[in-house]
Amino acid sequence: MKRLAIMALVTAVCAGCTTAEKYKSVSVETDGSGKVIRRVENESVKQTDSANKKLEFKHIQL
Amino acid sequence: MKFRYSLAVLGAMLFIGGCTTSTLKKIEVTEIRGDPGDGLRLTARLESESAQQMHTPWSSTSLLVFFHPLLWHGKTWDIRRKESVVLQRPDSGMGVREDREIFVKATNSPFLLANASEMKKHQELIYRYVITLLNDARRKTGEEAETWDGDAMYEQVLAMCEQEAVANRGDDVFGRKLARLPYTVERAELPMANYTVTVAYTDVEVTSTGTRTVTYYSVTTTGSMPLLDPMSEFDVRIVRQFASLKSGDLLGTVDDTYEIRRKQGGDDDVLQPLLEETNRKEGDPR
Repeated sequence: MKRLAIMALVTAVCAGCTTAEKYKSVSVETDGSGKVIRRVENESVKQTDSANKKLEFKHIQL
Repeated sequence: MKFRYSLAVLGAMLFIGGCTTSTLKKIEVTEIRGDPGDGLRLTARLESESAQQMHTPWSSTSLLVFFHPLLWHGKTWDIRRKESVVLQRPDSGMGVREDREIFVKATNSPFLLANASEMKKHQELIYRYVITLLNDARRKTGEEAETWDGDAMYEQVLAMCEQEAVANRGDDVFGRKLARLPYTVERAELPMANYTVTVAYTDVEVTSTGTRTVTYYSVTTTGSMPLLDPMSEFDVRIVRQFASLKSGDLLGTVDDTYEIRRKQGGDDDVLQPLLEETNRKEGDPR
């Protein structure tokens, strides 16, 4: 029972470490007649994760 | 039995401690639709992904410090960052993938462990500040680039991605053009932490007749101080690798190393701007 309580505590704390934000934007360019000639859609997700290990590099040796 | 529980608690604490290493991740997708004459169609697609971690190891310089947690501190910290950018021309099937690895190591940069979480919270700003320092130095040496600002560079890459000429000449031309662009980020100045100062004092006035007048004053003002130690020195390594999206062939690699050191020796390594200004005004006969 105590083990279960400890595991639940750890999971709860670590789950609370993750946050995410989403952004979306659309910009449109029109010509003189009002016709759309260019449309740029941008979507981004920013997230903060808790991690137990360091980011590993492929090219940089530390 | 008690020993087992102690071990379990210790294990749980270590695990939670491990969770304090946070990874900042960002995924961004941009799609551009242009009208070549027969209606809007997808002409360029840009996908970027980044992951960043900041590590603030602590070290104890004396036994006294070790036994007082508020004095726990570190002198070096580092930032690890990985990025990948994929540029595609869906109409021609052409595309380039750029993989970046960036390592920033700060030395001679003392900080209190109690402030490490604040530094980690603002690690993206700290990272951008270090890269801005580098790019300012590169610009001072005379290196030419169309822009040194991340946002403007992003627009430039998008515009390049849209160019018909680039699309028709293949991935290697595109890769070379990308490699010639300097690595930039959105410009950032030295990160500052804001604080407030409240000054409270009491004025007691006693007249000859013995009447006491007590007045309380309280004034609050704001100030700021650098989040990083101004003596900090940085070593930065940036590796960028370009590959064709179609064939997977390596198109080129850029491997840059930078050192930012405090200027040593001479009278000009420390400035006293206010004092200099005062002296100049007093000594100026005009």
